Amino acid sequence: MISRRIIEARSRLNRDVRNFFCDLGYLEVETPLLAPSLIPEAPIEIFTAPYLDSEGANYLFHLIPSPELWMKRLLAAGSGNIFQICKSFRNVESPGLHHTPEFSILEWYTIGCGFTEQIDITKKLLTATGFSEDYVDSAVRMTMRETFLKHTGIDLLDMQHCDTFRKTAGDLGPGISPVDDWETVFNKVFLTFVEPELPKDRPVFITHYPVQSHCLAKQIPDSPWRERWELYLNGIECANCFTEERDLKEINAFFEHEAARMDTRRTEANTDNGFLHIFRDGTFPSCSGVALGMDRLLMLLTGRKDIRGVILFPFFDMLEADS
Amino acid sequence: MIKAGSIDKGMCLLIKDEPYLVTEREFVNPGKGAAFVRLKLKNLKTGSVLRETIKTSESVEEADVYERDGQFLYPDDMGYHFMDTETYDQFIVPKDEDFEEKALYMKEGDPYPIVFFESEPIDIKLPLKMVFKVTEAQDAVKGDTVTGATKVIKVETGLEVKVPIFIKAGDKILVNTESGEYVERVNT
Repeated sequence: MISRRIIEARSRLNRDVRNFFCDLGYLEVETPLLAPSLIPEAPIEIFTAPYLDSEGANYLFHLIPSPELWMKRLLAAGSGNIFQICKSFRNVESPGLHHTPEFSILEWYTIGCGFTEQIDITKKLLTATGFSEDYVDSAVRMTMRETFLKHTGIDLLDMQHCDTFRKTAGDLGPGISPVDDWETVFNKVFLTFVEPELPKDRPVFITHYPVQSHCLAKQIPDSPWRERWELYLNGIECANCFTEERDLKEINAFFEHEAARMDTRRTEANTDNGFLHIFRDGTFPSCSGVALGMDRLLMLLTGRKDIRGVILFPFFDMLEADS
Repeated sequence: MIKAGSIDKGMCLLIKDEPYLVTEREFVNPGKGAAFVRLKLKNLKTGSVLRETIKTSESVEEADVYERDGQFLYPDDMGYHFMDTETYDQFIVPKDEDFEEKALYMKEGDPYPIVFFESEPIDIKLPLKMVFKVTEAQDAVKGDTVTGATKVIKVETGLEVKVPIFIKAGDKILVNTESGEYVERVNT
């Protein structure tokens, strides 16, 4: 059902976001949705679209799973603070209340800003998009270690060895397999025992993610944590923030780590080796970035429980109608 | 064996040789993580609840269950009384927390697919969207022209639904049985 109210709410949200960042002096940017190669991320499944030239040659392009590969190139080129609202695509998504293969993402980068300062920016953004001040002021911040300990009794600091973690987690309940790596055990326990228990009446920022959770967030020196947080609204993961890794050695290691586990992925994509070049001369600015799910935010703003309720032409409705 | 990604609500799994009914199933992709499916399961022998999360690429074993259509007759303290629409045998689906919520969608006289395990009825399946008649609704307040204003109404089964203010008592509405949300007004 096409709802006038949803058309209006989406339009208002986009305008509020643009006004918010433009007032702060950020530049709105627009980057391609089609890319010939991507940052390798083994857990993310990719859409591929062939391009045929007039000579009959066939080139594979991918629909971006996030605009990160382009936006970081702009940062390296000296763009300064930037933001973008665009579509992103994830293949092999299963239908659910919070997922859809084509979704809207808001991504912004702030130069010279650490991940904790981004919490303040994000809170101001929430107020600017229509969340009440009381609600935003009630936001809580907790570290992953604290919240994990509270809900599972497990101190992640004692779980640095995978065998220990697997055994301790296995005692909490089944579902842990002997072949699970550290990150998988962590995700299984977090998703089963921690995430469902997070407060739903206020914004929750979970900070300091384990270093074993591989991503391009900077590691805090001499600690097993990364400079990363995730924002949960009404128990739903809505935004993800990194202090961005700038060290070419670390980024190379990430590419290698992902390449080694690509066999678990059902879809294929070319690797964007050119991405590594932007970190070569050490001029990539110190910055942090946030990616926020606009559809999920709109669900909360309009009181919808199903992501289909905020998308005018939902993917899974089209799939059902077709079959 | 099936892939965990194809687990659905109402399916029965064998976990360490015990039969479990999937009462909740949610796909989750944490931040930069792989795809997982978060399950709430009910042990069909002991009734105890189990929560677990597994990768959608992992394999799980299905328990041997079958479905029959049962006409919903009435609820009482023992549970929900049904009649097999083919054999006319009557049976009771015992009360529990999950069914109490489902019962808000069940209309007496209507048939529903019932899942059996070892001859015992263990689950009632609901269509994803169902039509209900609005039985209790306050009239919209005059002058209330705010776009998208909603109110809460009751339908014939006692279920409360949030609807747009133009919905009146006697209207028929389509409701999503999974989210409990109003879908649209049905013209009859």
